[in-house]
Amino acid sequence: MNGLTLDPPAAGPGPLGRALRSTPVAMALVVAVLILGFGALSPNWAFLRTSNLSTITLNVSVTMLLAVGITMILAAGELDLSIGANVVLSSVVGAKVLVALSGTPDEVRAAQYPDLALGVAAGIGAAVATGAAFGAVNGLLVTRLRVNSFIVTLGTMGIGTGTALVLTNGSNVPYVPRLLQTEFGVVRLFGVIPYPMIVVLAISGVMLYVLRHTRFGLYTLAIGSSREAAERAGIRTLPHVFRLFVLMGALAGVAAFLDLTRFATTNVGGHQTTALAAIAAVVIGGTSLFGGRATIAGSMVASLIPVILATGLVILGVQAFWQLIAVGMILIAAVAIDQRRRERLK
Amino acid sequence: MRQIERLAEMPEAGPAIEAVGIEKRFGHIRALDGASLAVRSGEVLALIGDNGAGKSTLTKIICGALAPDGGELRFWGRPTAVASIRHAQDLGVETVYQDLALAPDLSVAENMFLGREPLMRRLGGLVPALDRRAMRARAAEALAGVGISLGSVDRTVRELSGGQRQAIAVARAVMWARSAILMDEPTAALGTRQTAIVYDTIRSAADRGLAVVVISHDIPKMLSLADRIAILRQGRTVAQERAADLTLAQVVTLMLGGNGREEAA
Amino acid sequence: MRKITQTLAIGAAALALAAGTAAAEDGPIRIEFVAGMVGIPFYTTMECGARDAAAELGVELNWSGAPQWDLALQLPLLQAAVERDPHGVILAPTDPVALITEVQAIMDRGIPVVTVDGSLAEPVDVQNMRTNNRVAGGLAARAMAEAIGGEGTVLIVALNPAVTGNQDRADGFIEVIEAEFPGIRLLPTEYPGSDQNRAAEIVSAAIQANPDLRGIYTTHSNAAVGTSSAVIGAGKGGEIKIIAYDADPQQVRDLKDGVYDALVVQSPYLEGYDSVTLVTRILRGEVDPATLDDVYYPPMVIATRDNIDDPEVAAALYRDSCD
Ligand SMILES: Nc1ncnc2c1ncn2[C@@H]1O[C@H](COP(=O)(O)OP(=O)(O)O)[C@@H](O)[C@H]1O
Ligand SMILES: [Mg+2]
Repeated sequence: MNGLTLDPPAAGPGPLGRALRSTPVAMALVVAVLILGFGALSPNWAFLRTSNLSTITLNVSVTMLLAVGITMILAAGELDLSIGANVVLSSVVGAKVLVALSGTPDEVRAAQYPDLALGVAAGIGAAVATGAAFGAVNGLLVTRLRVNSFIVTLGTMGIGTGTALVLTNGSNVPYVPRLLQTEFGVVRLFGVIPYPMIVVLAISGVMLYVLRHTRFGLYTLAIGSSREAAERAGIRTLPHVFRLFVLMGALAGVAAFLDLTRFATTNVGGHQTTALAAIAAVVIGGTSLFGGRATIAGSMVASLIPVILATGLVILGVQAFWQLIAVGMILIAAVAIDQRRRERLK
Repeated sequence: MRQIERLAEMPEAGPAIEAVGIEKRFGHIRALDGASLAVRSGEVLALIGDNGAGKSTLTKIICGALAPDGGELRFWGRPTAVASIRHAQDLGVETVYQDLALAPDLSVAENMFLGREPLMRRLGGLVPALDRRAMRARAAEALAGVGISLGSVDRTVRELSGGQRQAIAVARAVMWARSAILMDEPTAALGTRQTAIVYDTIRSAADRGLAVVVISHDIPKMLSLADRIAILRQGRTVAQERAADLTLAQVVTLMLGGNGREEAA
Repeated sequence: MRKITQTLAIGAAALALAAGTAAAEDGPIRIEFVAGMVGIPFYTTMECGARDAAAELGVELNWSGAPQWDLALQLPLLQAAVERDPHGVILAPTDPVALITEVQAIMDRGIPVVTVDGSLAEPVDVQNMRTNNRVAGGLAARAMAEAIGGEGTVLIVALNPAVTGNQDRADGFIEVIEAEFPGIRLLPTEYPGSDQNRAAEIVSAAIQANPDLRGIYTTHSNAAVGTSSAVIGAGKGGEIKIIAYDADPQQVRDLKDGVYDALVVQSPYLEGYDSVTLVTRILRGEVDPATLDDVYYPPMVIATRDNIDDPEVAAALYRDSCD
């Protein structure tokens, strides 16, 4: 009686078949096509210059980091709309701590930073701690009040932005040492890899490992796929979701500090569309909006697409309003083609 | 109470699992109102009752998925408050839920190990990682053990048919169970041949010394498969008898009410 | 029509002697100043100007403002100000339409209202004092021409064409470049909104595409921050000239450090000083409101590393506090 097959064993897709079916690979192809296309169209292949490609990675770094975090959140079937506000608030707190501890008010006003090392260390700590605390608030509201995370984070988005404005009166924190920018924020290793990107790649690598190879990652996907099934398997889903929001918040805190080094100031009026940009990149990269399926590599690759488009269209001299139209159309086309292709391969 | 007296008369060692006078309310619905059962190691107990009688609720209380409002659970005679699903798992109790409780986006192997994945260490023992190779091998083995072949244990559950899913849930429970298996309508989605496999699996699990509780509407089959029958009506255990002592007609009468109670006695 | 100019203020102490009309009977003139917001250098500087004028003219000034640019926060402050029965009101309106009825009502009670910085869609006030953005753009254009030697490619990084005041800064720049500097080639204007990162992306790309890019004119501070980050990141700091708006202490420091090459300095100090002076003079009967223009544009300056220490420029820079 043994060995009764319930279904003819499906010819499991080989490595090549799997790759062709995978959205990250498809999006990598889109990226390659865009790069080569813009290269060919741009004067003197200006788009393909190392300096340009390197700058694109610098410009994408913060979005990519946030997209990696959002991948984990979406994997669990949750959403975080507050990450832009979190970046703003965390950078404000980080900048204030950094400036306050780097020297006396008179010293920093005169661009003197006698205790810069202390200030920077404390500033990093303050930014990440603020981000994590912001995430913890989201996590508590989602898991304790059992309010949908879309609504919770829509609410905390406003609260975070408002708090940042209250703390700063709406103007950016002044006297952030420009050294952060000239020694780190826009500097490239070997003239190629921007320092912030190194941080982002390192963190993304860890997160990729966590999602693919650890219990934490598997439980995240299980919760997103079926919370009921995860609970029946003995997984404590609410603490897990809470930890995911704290993790997301901490990543937003890191992003906040990277932002600070990049611009040598805070960005209290900015990051209004950051959350949407990150979520869009994650979904375009192949992660399900409804949880259970997630790919960090896909998110990383897809987050490149809008920046490549923006850069390429400016280099081609496309007029600003047409850029908006072109970006929208290309994004929709890329995802539509990917979907058709996957359906055909099934 | 009558069924408990009967248990006390039994000559062998006491039951592995005993539920006594369990009560459970959902708002003003009394799902369980004095439900009891007892099952010994190596024995199949069929839990029978009409829809809404409280069968699923009773299994969920035994396996730690729900907390009872009253009554007592005993494992090997020891009163035990089952605090969580983990706790029941630690007692060796596995469950096949009526809704299967599989994560559709995870692979077959991941589902079978969910919550209890084998780990290995990488980078000189510093970094923990899922031991996927072990998961695959043992999952395939467990599936083969209950006579199921899926091609690849890397397929996601979403890709599988209802019957295949049910088979996985059964294989998972069999793989992990150390003392008891609770199966809530494990053949509901299965065709005749597949159902036969599951019944074989149930029998062989009991033969291996496990206590098995199976919920099913296939009363004739239960009368031949099970060692004993427990009948729930409106949240109350109305009878618990040796299967050999019951007829189909008696079971149906007990299940639906009327004067079946006296007849069974 | 006669323009109230800055010079009027200079002789203000003497004019105070001529007081004798309307309000002066029951003690000193009391003026309520409701700012657009408080806590940012622009408005702090305006407050300094207003307080200096009040001290010189011997009038009482009550300064209020919300921590944010928000009509809902400003409205109660304005109403509270009116409750205090002032002789005159100065308002930096946070909304061009919603405040029209309020201002009209105050005017109807015989209290003159002067608006500063923002303006109302209908001139129901006595006068509006604000920056002439088009003129400012023209000043920036000439500063740019000077910075890059009258030749080369220039990019404008603006806000959003729908924000008229900001778009005027771009249009004024374009007009003057096109009319006066044939050697300068303007790239299509870019609109990153208030997003620093987007501004940095655009400027990075423009640098790649235009090896002859010599100057970038930014019409708001977020554009300036993104632009400077991109320029420094491309190793073009100092080579590509950047002109930015406003003169916060941080921006002044960045000017001195060579991050920016010129700052368009608006005149918050004069808006504060001149508005208090004008209201006082109206109340003292020295100025007939009927003779006033609807709008008065206080003069602006362009700050560069060369002129930053000139008293006239230094006085116009924004401050963190008045002492
Ligand atoms: N989570 C719940 N919330 C409210 N009522 C429930 C819940 N679960 C079960 N019930 C009710 O409890 C009673 C018993 O249900 P159940 O145990 O599923 O019965 P059975 O499995 O015997 O069909 C039914 O009336 C059912 O509607
Ligand atoms: Mg049931």
